Amino acid sequence: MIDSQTTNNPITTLPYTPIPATLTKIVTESWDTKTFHAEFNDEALKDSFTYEPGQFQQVSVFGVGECTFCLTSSPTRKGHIEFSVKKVGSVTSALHDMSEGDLVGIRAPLGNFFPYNEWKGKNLLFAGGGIGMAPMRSLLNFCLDNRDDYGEITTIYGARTPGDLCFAYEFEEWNSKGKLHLTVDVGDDDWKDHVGHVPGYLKELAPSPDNAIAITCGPPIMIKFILPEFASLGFKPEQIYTTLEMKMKCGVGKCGRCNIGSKLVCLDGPVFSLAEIDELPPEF
Amino acid sequence: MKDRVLLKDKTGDFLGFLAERFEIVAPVERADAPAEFKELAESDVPALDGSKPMMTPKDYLLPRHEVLVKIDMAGGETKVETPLPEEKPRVMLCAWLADAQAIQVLDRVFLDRKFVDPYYSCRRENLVLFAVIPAEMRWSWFSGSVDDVETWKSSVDGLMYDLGDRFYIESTSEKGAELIASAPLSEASETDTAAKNKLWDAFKNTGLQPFAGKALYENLAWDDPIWEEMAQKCIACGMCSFMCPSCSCFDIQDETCGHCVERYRCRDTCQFEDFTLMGHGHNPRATQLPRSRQRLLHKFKYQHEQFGVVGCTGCGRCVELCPVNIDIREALNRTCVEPMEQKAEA
Repeated sequence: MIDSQTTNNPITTLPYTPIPATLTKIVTESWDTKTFHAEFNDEALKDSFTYEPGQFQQVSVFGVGECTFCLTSSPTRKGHIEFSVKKVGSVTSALHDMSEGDLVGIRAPLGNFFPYNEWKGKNLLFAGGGIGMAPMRSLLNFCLDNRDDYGEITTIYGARTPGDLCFAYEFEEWNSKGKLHLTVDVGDDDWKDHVGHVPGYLKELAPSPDNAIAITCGPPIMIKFILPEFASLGFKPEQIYTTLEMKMKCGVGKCGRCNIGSKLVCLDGPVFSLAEIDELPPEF
Repeated sequence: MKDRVLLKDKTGDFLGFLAERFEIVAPVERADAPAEFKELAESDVPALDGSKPMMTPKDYLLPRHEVLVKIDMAGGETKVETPLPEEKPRVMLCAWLADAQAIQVLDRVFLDRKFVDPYYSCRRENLVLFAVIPAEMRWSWFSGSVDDVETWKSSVDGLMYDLGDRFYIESTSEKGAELIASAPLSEASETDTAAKNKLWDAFKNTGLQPFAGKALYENLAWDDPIWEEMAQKCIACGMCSFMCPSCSCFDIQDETCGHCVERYRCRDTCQFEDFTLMGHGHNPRATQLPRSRQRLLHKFKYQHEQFGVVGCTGCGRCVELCPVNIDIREALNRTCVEPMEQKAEA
């Protein structure tokens, strides 16, 4: 993790100190979710900053507080970083009230990342629900930008309604460089794609587990029902990856609230294979 | 290196010697509260004998309220400042040995794990540590039950045994030996050494529990009925964590004053409901049962898995101070020892 960091990123020596960054673009994804583009004010850091797909960051709204978000942009697309925010509490509401040009603080990159080097030559299957697409989008775009390294790249993405689907502006790319299957719980008059939950759609599409890795993220209820579907398709726990979510304050293994058994989500995660999760106490 | 003694009426000379070389950190009596570890001011009288209840050394190493970052947004410009404590040679006197060992646990959290905590590190790096073995043991201590306390001597630079009119000072590191060699101390007699050995044996054997010597991390059960029992009694006041020498969980909050923001950390505990409550409303430890279980498993199982040391050092504060008399010694005996004995009988 530290290896990927640059020497002029203070996270290594002053891990609690947020680095000023400016919001350069705000995209409204759905009625409750926005994606923020941010650039570090420090030119040198802006150019040298790098991260891995799956890592996360702590974003500060000064005077309100700090919140944990995944880096949803791909490190292959340099110059700025992105994070998607669902409006749920005080920091996320303050972010939603911000405008382009406003200042935030960022501590990044934190946590582990998807072992994409081990997956070269394999077929990748992404199964996401709602805002759960955000952590997978970094890896998805990273793999699409390194298209020749991977086999088939298939995405199943679902949300409650068509209006809840995020990143619609990238669907064309996801479907041309890979294959995209969309589904919603409830459609509207214009909806022509699949209607139903992600786990059911996965069963219907029945992708092969041979030489494949499945990556899944979404609300706990989706994860609960999708894991048995993967199992019945023949995916082994070592072939299934997800990112875990816990409340965090420090993000650097000190504040003590993101443990699951002896693992810390902020240091040992957020990316875990199902085989690793099966070893943890049944806290979730 | 020969051990030496400090005659209590010569304490002033000894402290003067230390003050020339170090910032002295020691428990200081307060009018209506337990002694608290702080940097000695000239007017402070340190409570050196460890006989009274006291706050833990973590209050010095990890202050209850500590500003991590100052943000000044005056005039549309944003300046972010990191106010680190001054690095200087410090000597800490008269931590209970259990508290000194707890610093080993804190070290593994704050000086290790990929990121070094710079605030903790500034205070800890050049710290010479002398622990105290008081003349009288406290009824609540059970250090000998959680670990081989003999090995704890390497966690400190020296020990001060209270022998009534004098302290027997034993060095347990090179740094400690160098220091007491040049300090204004007297030679220890054979009688002093015998008295010191007797006191050490008393400490080792204080409050030994049936679970002593048992590998708790192997035997603590996730689904033991004891967690529900503890949860029923617990009022989630957080006393056990706040007064624990090794509990170090903290919260981070912003405080705004005009155009300035102070981001500070303060104590937090896994016993509080909102400790793991997430913004969208989900709480993985939504009731007291998983919270009670988390605290004990963290100390006796998870930290052992993480660092190879047990997170509890048997200082007994949580036993003494719990307002509803939850006794972790009893819980550990119930959840580990009784099932093991039943198994052996069967």
